[in-house]
Amino acid sequence: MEMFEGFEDEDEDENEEEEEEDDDDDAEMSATLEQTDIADGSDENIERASKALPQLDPEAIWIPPVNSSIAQHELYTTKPTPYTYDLGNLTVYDPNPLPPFPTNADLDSTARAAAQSLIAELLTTRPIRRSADSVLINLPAPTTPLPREKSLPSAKPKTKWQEFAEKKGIAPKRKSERANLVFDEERKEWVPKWGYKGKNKEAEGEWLVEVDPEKEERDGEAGDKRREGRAARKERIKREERKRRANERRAVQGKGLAS
Amino acid sequence: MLRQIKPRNARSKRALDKRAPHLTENPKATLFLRYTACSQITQLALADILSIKRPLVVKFNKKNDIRPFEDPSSLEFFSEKNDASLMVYGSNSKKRPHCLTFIRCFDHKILDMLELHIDADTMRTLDQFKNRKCAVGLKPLICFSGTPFESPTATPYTMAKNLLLDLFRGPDVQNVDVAGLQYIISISVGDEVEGHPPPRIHFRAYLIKTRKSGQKVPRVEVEEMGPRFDFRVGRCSEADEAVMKEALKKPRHLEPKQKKNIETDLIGDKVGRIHMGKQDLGALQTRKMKGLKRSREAEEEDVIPDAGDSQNVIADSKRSKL
Repeated sequence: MEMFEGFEDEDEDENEEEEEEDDDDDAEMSATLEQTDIADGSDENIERASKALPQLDPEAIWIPPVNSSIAQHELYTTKPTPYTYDLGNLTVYDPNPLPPFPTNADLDSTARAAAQSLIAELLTTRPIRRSADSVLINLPAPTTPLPREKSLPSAKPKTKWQEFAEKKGIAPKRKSERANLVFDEERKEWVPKWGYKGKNKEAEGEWLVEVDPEKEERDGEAGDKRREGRAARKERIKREERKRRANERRAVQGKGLAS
Repeated sequence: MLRQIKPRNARSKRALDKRAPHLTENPKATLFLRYTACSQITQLALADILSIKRPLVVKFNKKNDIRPFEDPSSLEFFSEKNDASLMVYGSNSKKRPHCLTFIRCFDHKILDMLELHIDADTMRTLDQFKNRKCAVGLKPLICFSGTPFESPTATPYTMAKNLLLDLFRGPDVQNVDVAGLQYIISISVGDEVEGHPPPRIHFRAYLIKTRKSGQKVPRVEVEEMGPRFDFRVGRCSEADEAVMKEALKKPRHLEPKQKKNIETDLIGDKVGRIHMGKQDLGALQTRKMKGLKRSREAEEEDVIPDAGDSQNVIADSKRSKL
């Protein structure tokens, strides 16, 4: 049973500390309540968890003899109706009736039987992955229907381009097309399409520009290709920004209409 | 209703995005708060449930003048402000002594509420059991026993089952370490008897201890860890059917697509089924026999099938061989 080494408690030696309180000491109960502070302390709880002093009462230490008929017999409590499980929530449903006014012993034995069968179910039906310091049980998705915390996220409203592309059957660009890299045939290397040292700014940094004779004749001046290129690029940026804002406005209006 | 905040920077945008609805949700946080009048018993119970629920908790220390069944708007506000959709509200009055109200929200609106009154005589706190406690933040094993929980129609008991499961189940996980199966929360109800008040809900939490059993599965022992409550069921407000239906909606494409022909067997090994193409059995090498051998002439004809004057060619080849 190597796999339970991590699981098993290493506490079969110490037990001579205070015993668990008795069930019917109501006088003592009220006294304790008065002594106890109104619990607020987070420190107190952390201390409680870190204390972790294993104590056992002598009954719990009873180890059934290995392979004996007692061990075989006592492992599972037979119940008329079988349990149902929701292993994703580590939950077991026991549909068997309890006595009308169950005693603490009744509740303890019910809990033990349920814990036993749930652990057996986990260990026998689920895939287990062992590593050096842990034994991991894979859990299925929870089956009990539980309400969500918030409603399902609504679909993002489409931009005008997305609507148009859908109508025309234009597929969205692939990842490689969207990437900011293009092959420069002259330099024989990959350069960014935009941004720092981007290909779209290439014309702006030329140290020598050819004069367009036709344009010079038409307009009376040659103009500066570098400045014009930059202005056109800046204008494109502004145009895209305008379009983005328009799309946002449409999205808000659409939402307002829907609700 | 909180005002709509437009994020001014990336940090606040991230914070808002975190609160927005997601396909796979974060585990629900639980808010603990109290009425102006709240008995010590109730306060201790709140503290104990909080320490089991840690770390998915928010705790309010001030008194609140809220009556959840009359006007829950403050609770809805708290739910939105703290992004908490579960609440445990402690109160005490002559008519409803030692009362815990379990509240569940959907979209920061109250979904359902259930009052459970603690029996002060049988209540025991976590600290009154002088033993080891489970580690913080572990997923508990949960057990619901008793016939009232299995009722096919909606009753306060089935509601308590669903609510308490939601409260205690902890985060959704794919794997659980065996060392983390440390405690079980057992919630049970006795059978109903005619002429008696409705049965109480018994809340018990036990540490799990495993012993060698000589079989594959260990023998499991339980030891009560506390807290211990016996609840009397009080008022309950059920969820609106339409809202509940909305809340139970599952995102369609969240389930992974079933891969064909790949299965996992009981041992956990991956088993695949492969379909081979049709084999060409004509080229199969069978047993060699002299009678089945092709004759020499046929072989040579095969070598040069399209020669114009086959006779000459054969003669040539024979000559060259000589």
